[in-house]
Amino acid sequence: MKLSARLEASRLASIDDRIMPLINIVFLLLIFFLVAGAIREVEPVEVDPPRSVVEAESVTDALTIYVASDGRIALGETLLERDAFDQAIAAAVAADPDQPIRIVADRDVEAVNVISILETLRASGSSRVKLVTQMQAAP
Amino acid sequence: MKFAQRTSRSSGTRIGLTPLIDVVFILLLFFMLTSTFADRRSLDMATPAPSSVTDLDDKIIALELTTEGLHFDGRPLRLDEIDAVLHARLATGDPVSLTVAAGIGLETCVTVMDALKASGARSIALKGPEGMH
Repeated sequence: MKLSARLEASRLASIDDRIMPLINIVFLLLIFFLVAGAIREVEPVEVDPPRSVVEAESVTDALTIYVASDGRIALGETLLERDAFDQAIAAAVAADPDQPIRIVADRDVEAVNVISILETLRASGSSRVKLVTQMQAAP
Repeated sequence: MKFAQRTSRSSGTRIGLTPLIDVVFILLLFFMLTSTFADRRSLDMATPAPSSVTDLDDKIIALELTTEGLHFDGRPLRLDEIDAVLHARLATGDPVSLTVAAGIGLETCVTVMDALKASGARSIALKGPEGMH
């Protein structure tokens, strides 16, 4: 009875010994992802921003406009047609003219599309507009 | 005697490692799937009020970006010439207006803006082709 209990205990201890390196590595991976990664934001359309060498960090607490490569536009999390978008943005800017706005546009989208959104923003009086880009190492 | 006591106490307070490993694995999976390493930056876009632009007309550095390339004063301008040609004027803080023709991708436009910023441009306003709406 006593012997079998001790055998059981040593068997458990040896399992622990073998599993320790695994836990160490899993913990290291966990800490790596915690520190190095940032939680991905949910984007209503798939967007791959243009590469740029600008240094300024992207702000996250801003009203976000997404422009997909096929021209679809989303304000925040809702996809909108162009006319509805113009109205929604005018209403949002009128409610708070100083709020920062960022445009997350795909690199393949036509610049003219983005410019027409900028003109809409200009017409509604917003002055804090940023275009989101993706970091590219300077050559 | 002492030894026997110690072993019996430690086996009494043993905490199983398996639930801990389960939780750590789930956390690891969560962070692996949700984290992103894309380094997002942002570029200031000038949206000047239309009224403030007219009285600056002679100071504005007007550039045109068409499918044939970048033009300044009607002459073609290569990206690596921007610094040589425009540095002195950009240093005075004159605003830049970049007129972009239809058919230009956003990335090309951002590359030109990068080059202008690198030469010291402070405010770059984008303009669409005439009669865009």
